[in-house]
Amino acid sequence: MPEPTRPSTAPRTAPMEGEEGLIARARDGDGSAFTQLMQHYQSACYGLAWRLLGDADQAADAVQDAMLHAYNAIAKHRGGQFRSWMLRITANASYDILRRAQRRPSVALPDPEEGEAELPDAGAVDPVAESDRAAMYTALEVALRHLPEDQRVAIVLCDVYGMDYNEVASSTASALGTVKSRIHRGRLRLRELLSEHRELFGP
Amino acid sequence: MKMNQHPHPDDERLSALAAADDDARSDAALRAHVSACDRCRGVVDELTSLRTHLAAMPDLVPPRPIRIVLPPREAAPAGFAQLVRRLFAPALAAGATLAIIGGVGLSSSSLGLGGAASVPTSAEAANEARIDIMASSVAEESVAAAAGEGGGAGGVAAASDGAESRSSTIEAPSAGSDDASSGDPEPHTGVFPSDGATGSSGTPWLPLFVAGVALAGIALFLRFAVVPRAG
Repeated sequence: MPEPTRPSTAPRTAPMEGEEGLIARARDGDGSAFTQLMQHYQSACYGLAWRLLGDADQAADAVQDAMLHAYNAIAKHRGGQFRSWMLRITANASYDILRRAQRRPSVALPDPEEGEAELPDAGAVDPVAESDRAAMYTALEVALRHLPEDQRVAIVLCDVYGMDYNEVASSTASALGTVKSRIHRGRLRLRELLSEHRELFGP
Repeated sequence: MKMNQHPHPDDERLSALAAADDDARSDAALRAHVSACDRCRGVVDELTSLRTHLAAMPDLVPPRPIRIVLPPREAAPAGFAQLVRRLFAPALAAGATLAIIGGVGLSSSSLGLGGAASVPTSAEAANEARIDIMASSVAEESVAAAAGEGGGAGGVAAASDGAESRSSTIEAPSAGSDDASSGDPEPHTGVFPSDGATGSSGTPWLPLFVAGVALAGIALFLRFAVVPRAG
């Protein structure tokens, strides 16, 4: 089995300079403007899809689906953060793939310590100075992958990508109370999983 | 760890407090317990820290650039779409204004309020039955005038219009107003009175109204049918 390609980390994508103009041009059918936007936000979208799906190929498929959907729906984008808008579309595309794969919500991703999972190369940005930070993010990624799928999806959308409970409920077609419960249980489970790494998560 | 089995609140409530959920923040008993309990305060602090670290997780670079194959889009050229988007509001406003002005002018003229040459016959205008009779007489006059003039095409058309006005209460006031001018010795004023009576002959109201409606219609059509993606 070939060694899976590991995604490397990148700082969180900030809005582009002149983004509003690009959005207006893309809205008017300018394909090159749309492509620039997608190139800028592809790491943000890919990170979300990868964390939801846990598979590089499926994550790439989800991002492509999301970009096509965004292209067809960009006329409906009415201001607000473009990043948040793209992330919501990516979350929906990823969740569609999850549903198509008919994964059971209680099944966790493969144990990354068994060597089958792909983990991001958390030290790729600055492997020396950021080693503690890289170790912390790696521990977080591993812990996230140990969560049951329903809890992982809810935690990733809410705590990692900042969606509110209603947005998570909408993206996952779940009841609001169910979403809150998944998030709280997921946080508590993460806390347990990370108990061995408390030194990395100091105040 | 249920409330009735343990003095500590449920850990999910602590998670809600760590996330500053409204219901947890407004729970005075929960907050009082946490502030007095080292164990629960520690849980809340750890969960708060965990949320902070989760929210700071970096983006992930795809191993290969995501290929975007954009489908062809049936949109107008960007320049045209931008032009339509920019001109839509002013054009619609101008069209509506023209239409309103023209409409008001038309109404005033047809009621005999605005036209300087029209004779105020409000009592006659108010009497629909009489107006219908007057419309009939105008039609008869039109036919007679057309015949006397040798039956030109315009005369025949005007006579037809006059005849049609019998069955239309909307056109009747026009014919009634014309009747006032039919006293004019010029026969043509009796043949083509309906134009003058509606105020469109020599007054700009009808062209103004039509131009306004057309302008607004074109603006709406271009904006929502031709370049619907223009924002």
